[in-house]
Amino acid sequence: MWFKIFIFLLLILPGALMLPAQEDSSFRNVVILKEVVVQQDGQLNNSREKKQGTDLQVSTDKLLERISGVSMIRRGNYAWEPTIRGLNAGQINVTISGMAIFGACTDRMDPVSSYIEPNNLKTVSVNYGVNNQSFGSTIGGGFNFKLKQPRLNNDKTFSGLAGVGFETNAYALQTLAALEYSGKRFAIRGNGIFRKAENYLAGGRSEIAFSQFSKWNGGLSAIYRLSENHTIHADYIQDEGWNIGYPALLMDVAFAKAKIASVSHRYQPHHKSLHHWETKWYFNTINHAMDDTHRPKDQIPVHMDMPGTSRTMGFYSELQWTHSGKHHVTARLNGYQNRLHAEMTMYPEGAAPMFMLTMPDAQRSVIGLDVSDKVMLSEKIELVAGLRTDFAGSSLYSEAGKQTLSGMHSGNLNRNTLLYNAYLNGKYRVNDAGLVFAGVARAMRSATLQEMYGFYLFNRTDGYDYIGNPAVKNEASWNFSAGVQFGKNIIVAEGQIFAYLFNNYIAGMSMPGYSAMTYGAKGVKQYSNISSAALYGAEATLQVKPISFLTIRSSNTYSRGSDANNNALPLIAPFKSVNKVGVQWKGFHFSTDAEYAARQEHVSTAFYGELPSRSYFIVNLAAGKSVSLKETTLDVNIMLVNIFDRYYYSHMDILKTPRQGRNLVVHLTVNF
Amino acid sequence: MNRIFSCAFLCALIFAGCKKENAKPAEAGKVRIAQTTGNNMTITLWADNDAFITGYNKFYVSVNANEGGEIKNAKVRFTPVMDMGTMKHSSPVEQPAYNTLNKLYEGAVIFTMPTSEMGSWQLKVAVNDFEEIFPVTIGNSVKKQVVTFKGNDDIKYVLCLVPPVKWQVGLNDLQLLLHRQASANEFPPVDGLVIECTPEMPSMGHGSPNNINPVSTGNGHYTGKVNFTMTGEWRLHFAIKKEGSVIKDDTFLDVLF
Repeated sequence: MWFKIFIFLLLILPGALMLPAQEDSSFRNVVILKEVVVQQDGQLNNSREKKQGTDLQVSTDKLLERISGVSMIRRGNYAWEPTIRGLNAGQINVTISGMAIFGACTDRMDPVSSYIEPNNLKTVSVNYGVNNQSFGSTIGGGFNFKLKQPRLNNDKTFSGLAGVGFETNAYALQTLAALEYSGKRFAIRGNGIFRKAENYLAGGRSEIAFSQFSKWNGGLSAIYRLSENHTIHADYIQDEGWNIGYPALLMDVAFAKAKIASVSHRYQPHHKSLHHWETKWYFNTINHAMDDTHRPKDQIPVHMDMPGTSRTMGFYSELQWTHSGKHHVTARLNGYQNRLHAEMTMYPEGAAPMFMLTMPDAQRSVIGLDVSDKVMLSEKIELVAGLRTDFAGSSLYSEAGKQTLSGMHSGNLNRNTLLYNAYLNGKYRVNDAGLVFAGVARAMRSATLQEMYGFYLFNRTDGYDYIGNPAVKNEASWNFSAGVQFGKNIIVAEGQIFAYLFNNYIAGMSMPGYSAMTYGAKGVKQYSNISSAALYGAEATLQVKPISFLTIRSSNTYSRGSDANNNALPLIAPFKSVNKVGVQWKGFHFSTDAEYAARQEHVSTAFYGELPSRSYFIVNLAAGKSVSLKETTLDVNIMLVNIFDRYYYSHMDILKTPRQGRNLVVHLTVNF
Repeated sequence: MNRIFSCAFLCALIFAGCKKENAKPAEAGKVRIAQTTGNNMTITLWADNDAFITGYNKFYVSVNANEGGEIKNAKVRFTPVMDMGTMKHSSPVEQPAYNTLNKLYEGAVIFTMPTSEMGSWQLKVAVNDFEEIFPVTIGNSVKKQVVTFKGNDDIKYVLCLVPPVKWQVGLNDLQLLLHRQASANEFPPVDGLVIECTPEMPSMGHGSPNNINPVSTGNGHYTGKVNFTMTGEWRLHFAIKKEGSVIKDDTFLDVLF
């Protein structure tokens, strides 16, 4: 593998150097290529992410974690699960260029974000609630990972990048490359990355067993121009991880494979009121297999195989229409079908194997329509109003699946749900320096297929086996947010408060008398609705630039949630503050950031099974330099993470598995 | 090459011919166990397969008049006999009744022990006044499907599982047969007791929810529902109550699928 990559580098580097000289505008393009995070709300957080997210070698997980309000649920050193303001799993939508895709693992080991790499991406758009950017009904918003497209008619016929990275902790290695061909009618971009890491060391140099991983990811995107305004796009991503350890869980992963494909047509007439019409068809499939064969015998009472698959196919068609320069109407029709299958076979010693379906062949078909209008009421007032409605039909597609649940639920298990999301967001520009904004939304989601049909799915957080409930009602919420933005001279400041007021909050209720299936599990819970719950919080960012080369920034987030029974909601990050001092000087950049998270004591051990978490404080250093040589730039980024080698974990790290100790990270990337 | 083909063709013909000869009940998936003639009748004993085991075994009898024609109104009785040399005893039976669907007399025998050096089983089939004894070999069931126990009421009971065609994951019909031993040769059915059934996977130590205790439906039958959450080895624990007091609370039968 390494040898091949070396050869590849040898082949592409001289080619890059021999390319005809261009003006530095192309370098700006390269920077845009590297720009990975963009937030839709267009507030201050935005600029921060843009700057921080410029290194394509950073993993998707670490990229997401830097976004204000986003926290990651960690089960190891791989495939972290994103949450937005504490909302997670079915409460947020994760799409790849608008494509619905769902992880295959019943233990949430493979969030969708684990199947894409920054190298595939142009931007990540983050939504904190319902707005016109989401591709489905949602409560807490979500992520849309927009794939990098090749450019037609680019200044350079060939462009690309190649890089290697190394981390002293976990002996992590990675190598990546991308190559783009740009013609007048046809353009194609290929990209690939390989990552491998051994067990990492927590603070204090203690090794975390079963935290290794290996993966590769490759992407291919092509554009063909049919005529002036019509283009055809094809995208394909394949991502394969293997030998992935999950120190916080009872099992590891033998392999996690995703194949993601789409074809789309775009009609983009400039200077017409209907200026964008995109239609996409897509298909993706995920194969996932857990593995306990490397664990010591005393940890494994029974060897088991737990494979799972997820298949989704769908389409969307999106229209953007501008009327009299004031109304920007977006209409989107989308539909998809997702099928989940997961099974478990246990092999007890001296007894017959035991087989069961843990996701008993569940499927969901969704059709939805979203219409929104962005209106410039005046030069000062902008309103975005929209309505989304979804029809979701959920069922079991095999006799074996129906038979499996016959002992758990009676009657017809098909469920049809009608959902609607409505939102109104406004911005008022008070003066040149200040802006106020506010939003209100009615949001709704149907229970996930796991929440409806799951069969003894083990949750490591509270130690219960979970059973789905086809009768669980839609979860709904009223979302409110309001904020101010101020920017004058050397100071930029932003503050925002938000609240999510839930009805029919979905949570697991203990089922006395049910015996757990998983060894060591405390019991069985079934998903059900709690009449209400509330989640509220605030985010504040302050940036000061006292002198041109110095930037001081402080980002602070806080959220708190309780349900109707006054139990603290789970997986809510405590107060967190990231403070950074950055210096940019003669092409060098240096930064140091101090990250502090408070204790989290607002937890419900009895109901949600969470334990309080300690606070932590870590300091990171980073330095970098871009060296340009004609057409080629070499980006060198060096980071020293957790310089004091603190032993720490965040509240959402499952089983309080500690995070990495001191780590020297070196990333070298050549762009051409 | 040609020779091989013609050989194969010939074999196929022969087998096809054999099949046809056995046609009638064999079409319904039955295996012919034995046949005898007497009293101007041909009596054939059939079963679902020829591997009899301790537990519930179905037997079928077809009775044909030697001058031709099926006899539908005969009185057919089964009497199993365990011959242990010094002593003989019988076991519970569901006496055959004519089933118009498959045109067979259909009954069942519950063998309580396997054939061994200790003794051997015979099945006495009586058709009207005619009797014939067929030796049968009973293997030990891999899983315990029948249990004989003495209750606190000093009565000896035989509890037997009537397995369905196929056990499956999810909710299954559970059918039990309960007889008492009145004498060595008399096993009348017992109705009206309360049976509580608790399934468990012994290798895992867990049970399953939503089971429905079997209730007495007459002729010694008790029917309920059992929920198997996965395939594998299950143990059904029973507590049996009579007039409100427990007569047996630690007996079990096993299921493997």
